[in-house]
Amino acid sequence: MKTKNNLFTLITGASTGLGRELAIECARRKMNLILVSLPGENLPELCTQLSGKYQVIVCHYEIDLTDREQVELLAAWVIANFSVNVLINNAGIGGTRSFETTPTDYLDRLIQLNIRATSLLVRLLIPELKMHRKAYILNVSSMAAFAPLPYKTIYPASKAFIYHFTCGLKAELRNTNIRVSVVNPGPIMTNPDVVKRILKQGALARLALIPASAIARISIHNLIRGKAVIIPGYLNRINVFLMSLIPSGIRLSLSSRVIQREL
Amino acid sequence: MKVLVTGANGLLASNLVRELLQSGYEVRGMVRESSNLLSLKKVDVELFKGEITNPSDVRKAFAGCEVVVHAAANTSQWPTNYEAYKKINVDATRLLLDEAVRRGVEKFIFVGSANAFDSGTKANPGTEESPFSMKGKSGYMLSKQVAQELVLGEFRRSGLPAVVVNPTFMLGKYDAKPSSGQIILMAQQKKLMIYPPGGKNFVHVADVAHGIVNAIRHGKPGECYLLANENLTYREFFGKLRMVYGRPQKLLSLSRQSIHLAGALGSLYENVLDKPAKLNSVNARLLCADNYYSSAKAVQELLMPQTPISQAIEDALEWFGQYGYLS
Repeated sequence: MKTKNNLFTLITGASTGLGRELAIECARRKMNLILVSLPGENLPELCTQLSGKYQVIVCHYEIDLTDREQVELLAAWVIANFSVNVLINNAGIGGTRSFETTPTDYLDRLIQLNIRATSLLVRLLIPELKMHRKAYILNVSSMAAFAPLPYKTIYPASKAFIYHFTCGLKAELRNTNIRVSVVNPGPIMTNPDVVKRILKQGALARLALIPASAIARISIHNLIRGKAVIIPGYLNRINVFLMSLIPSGIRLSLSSRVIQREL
Repeated sequence: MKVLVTGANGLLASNLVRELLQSGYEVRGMVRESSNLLSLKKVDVELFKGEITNPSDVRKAFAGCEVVVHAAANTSQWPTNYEAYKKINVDATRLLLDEAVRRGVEKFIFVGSANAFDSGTKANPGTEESPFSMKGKSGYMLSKQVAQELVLGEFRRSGLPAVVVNPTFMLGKYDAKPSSGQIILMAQQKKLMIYPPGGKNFVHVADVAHGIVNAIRHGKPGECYLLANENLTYREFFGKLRMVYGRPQKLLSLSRQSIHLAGALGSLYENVLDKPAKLNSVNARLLCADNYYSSAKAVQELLMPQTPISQAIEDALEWFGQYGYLS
């Protein structure tokens, strides 16, 4: 007797990059999906493609997550229509800019998306996640969370927020059915722009570069295993360890030199 | 007509709420603040959050309801002493009865347990006429028995149109907790299933829900109705599960003596460490017993359906599969 699956995985920022690969990986594992992204990013096409190829149910919701009201509408829609046992907060923006010339709108959007939307979605979906036998939350942070960086200022800070928030949440939800993980990917080969930017950072950065599909596979595998902090790639794990040994002053001046090549 | 269902998120009640709505009743489901509402997801039912042990919550929950189905109970297997169950299973029933009398409800249906009557053999199963003996009964069973007596006593005293229904072991959809469905979840992951020598009566939870809906109209006040179906040995039951699901692949019988020994050890463990053991002497005795009952009265008077148990197993497995319970 074969039984069908009625549970859904919610993924934000699913139209491109790591989010898209996470969607593919989950579909490959026969998880039904609710994919969320900004309008006009070909999300419906991705849904058709995934549901056809992997025989899972794939729904989508196009929304600007920087708008608090829309985030609340999304959560209400999801709870009313689906049974969700996996929440993946992947949506995020970032870039390399000099802080004093960064438009204030951009600053505000980054904080609203990377920090507020993630926190709100987790909070709003916990009652739904709690209903299920096993539930999972995966928040996507970054290697950048482990080090302050010049010219990236608020992006690493927002990812450090995600890292700390997730670790705290994990401890708080220890005795519940919800498993919580944070993934801190290093540089990812997502789109050609990012690859070009990273290649400018030099040989070591190139070595640490891992395909997004591999990061997605590692992330979901470890999420289900219940690993708290997921750092894909040996080199990245060594890097995190080494960074923790170097005094922050030296670390900052080293990373400044690398980042300036990008500008 | 509006029906109040207490413990609305439980296995039976969540099936009952659906059946009531389908039959055209309005329903108010009473649940605790902390209840897991997965079993009622997408069901268009009015929920009232409160405690059945709290008089003011009970008063508010009753407002506007002509019928009450009291399905809420502490059904846990541990601890085994009566006192642990008294507050929720007995005292709260008293509170609900008083409120029902005060309001003059049209029907008060108490969901009891089949164990309020002594069980029989396959050839001569327990009925509503069977006596109740205290011997070998768990604290849970005693509490349900005492509560049942309260309900019947209230009928004799004030004429409250109260009916008692006594379901046996229920299986089917929406067992979110999971409660009795645990037997399926435990067995479906095993290649080799060791089964005890006894057996019990199994019933599709949807049949029980159907029987209760009919009891609102046709149940005679002051009467008890065993809501039962197939009397199966554990071997027969796991055989049916294998037919439906393919597992457990092999069945191995366990002797009476070894179960009693394990039960005695379990009770010793519980007494020393004050923690529940997987098996204690009370449930060891139950596993070896023939817990067989007849639903003849309910079939005749309440037109209770008798869906095959293999269907109940299939429905339970289907729902468990949909919500990630199967390994």
